[in-house]
Amino acid sequence: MSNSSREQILSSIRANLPPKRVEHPPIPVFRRSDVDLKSSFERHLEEAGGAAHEIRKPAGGRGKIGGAPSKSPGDLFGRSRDSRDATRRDDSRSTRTRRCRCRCGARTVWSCRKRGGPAYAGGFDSERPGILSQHLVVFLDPVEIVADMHEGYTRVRLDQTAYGCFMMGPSATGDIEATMVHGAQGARSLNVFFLPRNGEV
Amino acid sequence: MHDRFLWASRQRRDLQAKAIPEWEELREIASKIKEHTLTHLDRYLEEFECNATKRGAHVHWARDAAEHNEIVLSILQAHGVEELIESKSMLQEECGMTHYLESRGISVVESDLGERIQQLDGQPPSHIIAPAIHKTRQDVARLFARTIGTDPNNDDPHFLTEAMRNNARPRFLAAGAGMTGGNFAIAETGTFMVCTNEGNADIGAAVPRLHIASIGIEKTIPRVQDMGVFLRLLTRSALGEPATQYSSHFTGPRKGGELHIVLVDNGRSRRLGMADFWHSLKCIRCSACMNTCPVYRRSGGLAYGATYSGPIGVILDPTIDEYKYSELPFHSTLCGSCSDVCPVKIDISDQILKWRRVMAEKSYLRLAKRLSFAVAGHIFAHPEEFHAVEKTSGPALDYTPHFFLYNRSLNPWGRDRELPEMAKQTFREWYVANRGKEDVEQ
Repeated sequence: MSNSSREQILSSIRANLPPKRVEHPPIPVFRRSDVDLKSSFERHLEEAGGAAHEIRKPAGGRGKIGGAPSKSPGDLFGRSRDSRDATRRDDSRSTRTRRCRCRCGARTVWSCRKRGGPAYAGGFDSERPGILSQHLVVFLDPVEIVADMHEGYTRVRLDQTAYGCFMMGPSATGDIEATMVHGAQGARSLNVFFLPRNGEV
Repeated sequence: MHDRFLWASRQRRDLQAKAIPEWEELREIASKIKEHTLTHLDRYLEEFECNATKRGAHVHWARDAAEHNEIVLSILQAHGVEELIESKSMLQEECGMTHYLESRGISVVESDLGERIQQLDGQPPSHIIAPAIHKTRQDVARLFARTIGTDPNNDDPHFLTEAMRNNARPRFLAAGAGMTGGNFAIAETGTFMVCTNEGNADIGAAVPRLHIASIGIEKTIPRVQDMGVFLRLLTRSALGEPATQYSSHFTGPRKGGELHIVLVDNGRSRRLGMADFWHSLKCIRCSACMNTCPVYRRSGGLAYGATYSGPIGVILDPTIDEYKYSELPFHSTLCGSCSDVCPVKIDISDQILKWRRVMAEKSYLRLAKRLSFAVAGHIFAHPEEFHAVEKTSGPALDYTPHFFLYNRSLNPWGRDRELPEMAKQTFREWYVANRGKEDVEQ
């Protein structure tokens, strides 16, 4: 790093600051519409290409996930046998399903943050190729669904973790003639299981 | 088709905006947060640097594009990196980073599908968030057949996307470093946030051990709490969706990894001192102004010949090179739609008009254009002359020789296009006939 560059940039900013300083505006607490957060969450998740399921224990997801919206789901809890899989040389790490517990779910967006720990969907810390997972399974306690992103940001601690992601749905692209395709680079499918915290995972 | 896709985004944006009662209030708050940050920018950049460093990131400062590229190259060389996986970044495009690195032996692979399409075709992005939106599926099928060996007759977007996924994934594993940009840099925590729909930034940042992020100094915001405002506005304005599929936050390096953040000025601090133009620094690169602009929707982004296109490009590019981009402010109808949809309330159309004045005062326009504008200005200011020209120009065109109308010097626009046929009836004549003479006289 060039210290002189740092000083030159800061000096240039100070020399060019607009004469009138603007105060930071207050951000009000917006009135929430009186809707059922869980059903609204499910609807938005589905619109974004994901799916939500009710289960009582983590293993309960096995039967339900088969119907998940995914172009080529393979064996969601095992190893993919998709012959087109380009990551074959690293197949064991890249094709399995990644499971995680998320910290909160906003009505339109859910957040994949593990309470008190630095690992989330994708697992930067423990297993780095986890982010290459073909499919993503998330466990969410329905009581942690919040109304919007303002509230969502009050639930996460950015200063305590290296990485965190608010996800809307599986990886998607509309780059070719604006046609929506899921599974562009990241997870092909995203399944959210409603599971109270005392149900573990 | 280009027009239709972009207008559909604009219509979805309108639906999203209507569904949120506090939409206009959010725009006002976002605008004020940006203005507050920019009028205290030195303080917040120092705070961001301090907190990012505390979390283990290496923070670098680049005065211009050349220094940015040198910093990135030196980091890559120090780590012996020969292949880099890049997540779409307009700043890196602005700095001409890919060409710079490739000419020095570093292979750069774009991981965003649209950006990769453009890279394989040797073209810059034509849209901030949909770089290849001007291409048809047949264009992409032919390109992929030529470059990655797919079936040229299969133009199904699902097949083409899958083919690129299969082509790109091994590169994530092989790359020695991943590069991203940053949509927002949060001073309070030293966090930066990247929005993608494909998840490519997350993979590029997670798989290689080395992560480098280039962030423009104007991307700073003060607090985590502010993010709620911007995240609600950004994707709704861009695509008419509630949010991008991935809104990823990076605070320091991951365990065993290394994170370098390059804060880039490249003319931004100078722009801060331009009384008429510093508000353009509020831009959050959503592309709402491009999607609504009648000129952009019909011309496409490549026609602008600059990194940033559309209405925002018209006011940003001259701050990078006033002379080179002196014609851009004239590529606008001044309809004001861009200002109406901007989520941070940048007075884009007013700034376009002000840039026109700057270009005129500095005589940057070519003589032919200056003369034609002078003539047009005179005619528009004199109704009798205007009506006379209106009456005579249509018939006159019918008798004007083809070689004169399509002369390469006089009418470069006509090299690739036919002039539209003149209507037999002027708008005024139609209005008088249909709406009554009284209205016109009033």
